[in-house]
Amino acid sequence: MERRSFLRASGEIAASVVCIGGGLSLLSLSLNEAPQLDKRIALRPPGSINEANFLEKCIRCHRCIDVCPSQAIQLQGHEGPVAAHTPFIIPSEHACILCLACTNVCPSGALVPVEKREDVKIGIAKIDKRLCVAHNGSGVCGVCHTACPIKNKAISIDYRTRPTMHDDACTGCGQCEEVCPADGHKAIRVEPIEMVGA
Amino acid sequence: MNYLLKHIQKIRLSVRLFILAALCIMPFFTWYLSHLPMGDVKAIIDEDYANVQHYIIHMMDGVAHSGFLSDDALEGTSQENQNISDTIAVASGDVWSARLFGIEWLDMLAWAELTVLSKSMVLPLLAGGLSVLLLTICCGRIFCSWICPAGLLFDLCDKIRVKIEASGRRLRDIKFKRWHKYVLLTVGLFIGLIVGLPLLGYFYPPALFLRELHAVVYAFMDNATEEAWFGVTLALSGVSLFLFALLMFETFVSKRFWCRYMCAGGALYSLFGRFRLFRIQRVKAQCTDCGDCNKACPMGLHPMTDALGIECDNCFACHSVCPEEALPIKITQHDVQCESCAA
Repeated sequence: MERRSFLRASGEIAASVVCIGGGLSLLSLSLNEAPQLDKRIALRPPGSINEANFLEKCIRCHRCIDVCPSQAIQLQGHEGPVAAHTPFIIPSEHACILCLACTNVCPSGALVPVEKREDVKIGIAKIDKRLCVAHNGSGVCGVCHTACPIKNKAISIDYRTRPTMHDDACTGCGQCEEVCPADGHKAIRVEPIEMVGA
Repeated sequence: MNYLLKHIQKIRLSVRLFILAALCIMPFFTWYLSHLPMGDVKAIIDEDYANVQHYIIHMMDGVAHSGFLSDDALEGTSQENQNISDTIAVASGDVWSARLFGIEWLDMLAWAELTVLSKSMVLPLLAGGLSVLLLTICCGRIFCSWICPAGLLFDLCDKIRVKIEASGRRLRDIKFKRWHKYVLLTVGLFIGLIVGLPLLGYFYPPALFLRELHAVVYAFMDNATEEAWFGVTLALSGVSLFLFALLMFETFVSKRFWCRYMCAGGALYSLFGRFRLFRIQRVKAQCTDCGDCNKACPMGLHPMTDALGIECDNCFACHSVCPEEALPIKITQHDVQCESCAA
């Protein structure tokens, strides 16, 4: 190879590396201003490992979405490129029914299999007593207690159907949030927790 | 054997169409299997709707009851997790990641990205990943030519190109540098390592195409009791726009743009196919330098001057098109020494 063509070829390669690499890095950095890797931004499906590892392990194959029979698992599209196309749950639209199909289908270990539905811990349901119909005295309700799959352990109600949440038994499935009939805002909101399984 | 080699392009086309059909049926199948233990499939069958989804569910039901699934799996109407897991374990997924024959299969690009991002080996994936790796090392880049559904779409673009050019219009064919894809692969994996962003998977046509397909099928089937056509169009995302633009670009501007110059997955398969066992070896004595093979090669290589290298995807198009049978398929690890490539 002649010196001239060699120089030319290496120049082209260097220019291309700089162009493609620089472009991609700028793109990823500009779109990625606030990577909330340490903070869980949404409810993940059951069996999910902690958020930073989840984003690394999830290969965006969408198979958990495919197998979810209740349409609970949706695609993340708006939380920046790192979290894009990862699965999450909005319980007020479609709550998780704890069928655990997604934990068994995940190929890469972003969701690890869970044995019993009681072992799931994706969030904790918090109640706002000012909005709850039974608590603020405007009526009789108790549908959250009826909907709860961990009945009487995660939610208990008293003689006036006022629910009480028990954080240690709550799986965070969000069935109670989905059915909550409170006007305007839901009285129950499931808040994601950072670490799962303990 | 000679008969098979003579019709190898027909065999290849039928294999690809079969795989595409299987990939298209898969989302319907997964939908049916995941909804089976819930009881709503039964509810839909019992009701008297007469729409397309209804017939599809009936068909799936027929397949499932023909001895393909165990009775235990079929009977489950409760929300017990065991039933869903049993039925899903049969088959699910697409070319990016799939479960088939009891093994988790994985695209090499997905495997590379997973390994780089998580900085660890995921044990359940070893069997499937290593199988694909072994297949690539033995047979070369055959994923691109025999399996990839996006490759089939791009081939369709080529066909349209030929049709348009036959009618007298000349189309642009801009050539880029081949090593763009290796740069893209390296830089993409490097960004994955540093930022934790799986960038290459977001621009991988086969995965994108099948994701869109799954989204459409699920929007269609989830509204099994309603008219779902509006929801189906809403299920398409910006990814379809990207794919459509890519197809248009390949048709009118640059032939096989993505596979030749940009596909990071193809680059990875090429690198692992370096020591492939099946190769085209030109017989110089029979070659008349007609150049048909150079025109036929979908990857834009030059079999006539033995300039194949690692990027040959063993589609055997040059073998089929050669009028003198000067390009036989040999089991060897060496290419014929290329005379014009020395410079």
